[in-house]
Amino acid sequence: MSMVISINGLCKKYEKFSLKDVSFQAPKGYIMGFIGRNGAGKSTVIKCLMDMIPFESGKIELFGLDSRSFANENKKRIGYVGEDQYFYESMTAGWSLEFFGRFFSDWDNDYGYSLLKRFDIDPSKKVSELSKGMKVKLALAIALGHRPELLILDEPTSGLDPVIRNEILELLAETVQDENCSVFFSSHITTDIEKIADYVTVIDDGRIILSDEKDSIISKWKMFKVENSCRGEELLGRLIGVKKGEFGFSGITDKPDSFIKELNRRCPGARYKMENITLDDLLVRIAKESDTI
Amino acid sequence: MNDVMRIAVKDFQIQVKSIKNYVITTLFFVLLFTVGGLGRNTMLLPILALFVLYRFINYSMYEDEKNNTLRLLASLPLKRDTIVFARYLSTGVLIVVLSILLGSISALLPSGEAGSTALVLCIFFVYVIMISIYMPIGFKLGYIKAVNINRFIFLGLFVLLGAVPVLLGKGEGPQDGNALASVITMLDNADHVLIVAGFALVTLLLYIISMKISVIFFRKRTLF
Repeated sequence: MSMVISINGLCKKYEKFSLKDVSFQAPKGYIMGFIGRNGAGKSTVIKCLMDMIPFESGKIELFGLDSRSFANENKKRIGYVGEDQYFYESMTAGWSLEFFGRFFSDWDNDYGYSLLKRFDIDPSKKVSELSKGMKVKLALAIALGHRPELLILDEPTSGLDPVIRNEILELLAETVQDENCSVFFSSHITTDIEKIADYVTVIDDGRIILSDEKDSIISKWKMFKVENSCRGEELLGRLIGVKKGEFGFSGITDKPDSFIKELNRRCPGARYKMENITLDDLLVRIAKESDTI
Repeated sequence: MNDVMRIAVKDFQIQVKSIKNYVITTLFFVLLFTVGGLGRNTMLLPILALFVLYRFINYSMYEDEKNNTLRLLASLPLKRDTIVFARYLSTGVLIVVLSILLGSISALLPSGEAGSTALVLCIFFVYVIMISIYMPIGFKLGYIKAVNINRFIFLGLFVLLGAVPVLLGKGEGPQDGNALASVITMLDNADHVLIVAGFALVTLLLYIISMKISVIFFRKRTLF
């Protein structure tokens, strides 16, 4: 399988935060969700990917080309939408579409305008009169107007109401299906990722926690709720993001069979529940685990 | 249209609405100077032109800063150098247009009404010095910091420029002590082609050096 994004050992240091040996790959033709809580390092990784900020060490390849040496060549093949939308507020949506779009050599003006129409944006409307959701759609039209091979979205649905969010996700899924491009989509709203992603990469405190197929993650990871009489260090050590309550404890693991075996060995006849998890559960438990370390 | 041209044109496009403000302000000052009996002041038009130029650069930088559009530009397949070149191109075009306008007015009006050719050249030179100082600071520190720093620099420059003729006047200048006037008269009497060529060369050199410094600063600037 060929990769559109390949990151190896990426390190970037700030005064109070750093990316530590970030490595993962995103396959061509799929949607990869990049999840992590606020401040986990999602935007920093994306800015390194887009050559917007320098990094100390590591290697980033886009379409097999070095992200720094071939920055402009790579950017021509990428559509990017950031968390905040930056436009000249006094200009119209149509002017913005053409001004920013024409920097791409493959820009298709008619297609750009057709996207505006599809997104229900009046080209003659000033950017300052557009809602946040509309601005995201305008940014999407600019990002898609040159038919990119890779779409990089940095929390584009953050701060939007569920209706607009859903609309954007649907538009995104449709467009990606029609245009056959790959998507790298970061968000702390895991339900968004769960809806459209094929692959998921989880980042926390500047470290990649896991990177795998979404269905594989959801089927592999299980939530266990066990009565307190079985609580012991050995069992707790096999779970991640453990929560202790009055009647029992809970946690998640990607080795459920091994946990059940150990539970039955140490606590025969124990009462427990094994449940499927959501990406939200996964993120919350991982965050809890890193907070306790 | 190439990328440099596109961004340079944008600097004018985003200010179309401001032209009305420029005209109103200019008319206000013309009225103020006329009522104040300074209608024949040779420095009136250059001062107004300087105001327009300063507003133009400030507004272009302010728009990019306020809207954070430099960030979006940085995400496009563009080199940072292109953004710098474009700003120098748009400002350069405006300087030339304003200078031609001033030169035309001075040529049309009777001598002394709007200033001599030499005065226009001096003013053109002052514009370039001003921009050449302002832009690198703007590209290094951004609009807000640059405006504050430049305020002090320009104040110092004006004090210095005002002090030079006075100091020269104390020496071997004309009896009325106006050495600047004698310099202007000297330039007026000299070979115009030579002077224009000399001024053009020096200003172009200054402008290019300033642009190179801006490129170095802007490449290193943290936008995110």
